[in-house]
Amino acid sequence: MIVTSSYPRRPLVDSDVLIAAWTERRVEPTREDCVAFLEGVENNDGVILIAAPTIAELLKGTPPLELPRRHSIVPVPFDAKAARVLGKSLPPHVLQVIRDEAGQPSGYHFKYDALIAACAKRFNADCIISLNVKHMAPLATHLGLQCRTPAAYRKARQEALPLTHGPRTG
Amino acid sequence: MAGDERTELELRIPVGTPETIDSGFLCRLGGQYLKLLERVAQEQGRELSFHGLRLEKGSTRALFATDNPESAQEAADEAAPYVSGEIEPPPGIASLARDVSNTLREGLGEHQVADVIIGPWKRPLAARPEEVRALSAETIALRVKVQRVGGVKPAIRVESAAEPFPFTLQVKPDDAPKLGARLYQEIDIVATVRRDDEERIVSGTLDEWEPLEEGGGVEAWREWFRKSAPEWEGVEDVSQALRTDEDDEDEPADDRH
Repeated sequence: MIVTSSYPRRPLVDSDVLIAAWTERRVEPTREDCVAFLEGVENNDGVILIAAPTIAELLKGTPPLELPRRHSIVPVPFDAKAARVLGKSLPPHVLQVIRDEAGQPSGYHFKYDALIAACAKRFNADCIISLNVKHMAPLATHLGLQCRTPAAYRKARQEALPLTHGPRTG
Repeated sequence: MAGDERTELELRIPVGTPETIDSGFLCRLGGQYLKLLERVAQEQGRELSFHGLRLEKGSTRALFATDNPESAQEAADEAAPYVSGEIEPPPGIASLARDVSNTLREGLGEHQVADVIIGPWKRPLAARPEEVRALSAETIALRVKVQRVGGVKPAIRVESAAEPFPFTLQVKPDDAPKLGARLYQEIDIVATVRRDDEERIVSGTLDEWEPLEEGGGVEAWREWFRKSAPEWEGVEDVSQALRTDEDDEDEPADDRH
């Protein structure tokens, strides 16, 4: 897969990327990559999608404030159309195969991933950005989407940086 | 368009040619459609009349002259969703819209639509699907851009990056002027819609809407996260808390496939 230096126009960002970007404890360079990715998409006039199941994963008991309504971030629900996407492309027997192949433990978390991936497809995301590529990528692939980490864009960014020193002439 | 400009409304019909099309169908459709437009214009408080008929060679293109092209365009824009069933027409217009829809369905193939063209302006004219009333309703929450607000029965036409086609929603009369102030802007909506077999929204009503706030989203959401989910600062192992594998991080997807 070739990742260009340009940011996606309409990525759906997974829970772990948001937590890494927005908490102080996260180890570098993961946090830096996640922050740079979110800011990069916003600064390039892109739109970041956040699935409703992700919002549910973020909340841990504190009464939440009302969600901000800003142009660059769109919270997207798991609605009837998303349910049809999930049921058509990732029915239970397909999810079972993916889970077995990835060696994942059973549990609701995997269903969260499936819900989030279905939201990406239903709301026309151009890719899914996750730190958990091993588990999210097979779901994305079944939906015809790519899954990437923010680090993929760090490498591309670095490659795209102009040289700070001229070539040595000897 | 200047008010004294004389122009033509073209009804482009994707069947036959001027020489082969069913004459009765063409005359019936033209008559019913012009009558519908005149009635819609009347409800809008506009003057509209048509005169003459010209047929262009090639596909079937019936052209009707009018001295009120702006009124014709406004009326045609409002009438199209009445004919297609996207919006339930007001009582005085319903039977006229139903006549046009029935004639279109009789004369065109299942997935064919006519086009209405006035100068550079063009809008499809589709029959109401027979099964519209049987479609189940669903609630959607979307970010949309407002394309148009108005109509005898107030409605907004919107587009969304999450839907393949623009669609029309009926709105409460009190909301119409507020939405008019949001023309060409993004808003968040909750709507009850019905879709056809191809997932296209064919009708709907606006249940709720909210304008967007100014400013950057990333910073606003970070503040929201810090105040709404402060527990994450105390989590040593986020991956474990989310039941993910720690060793997945920092590698681009490319390296794992």
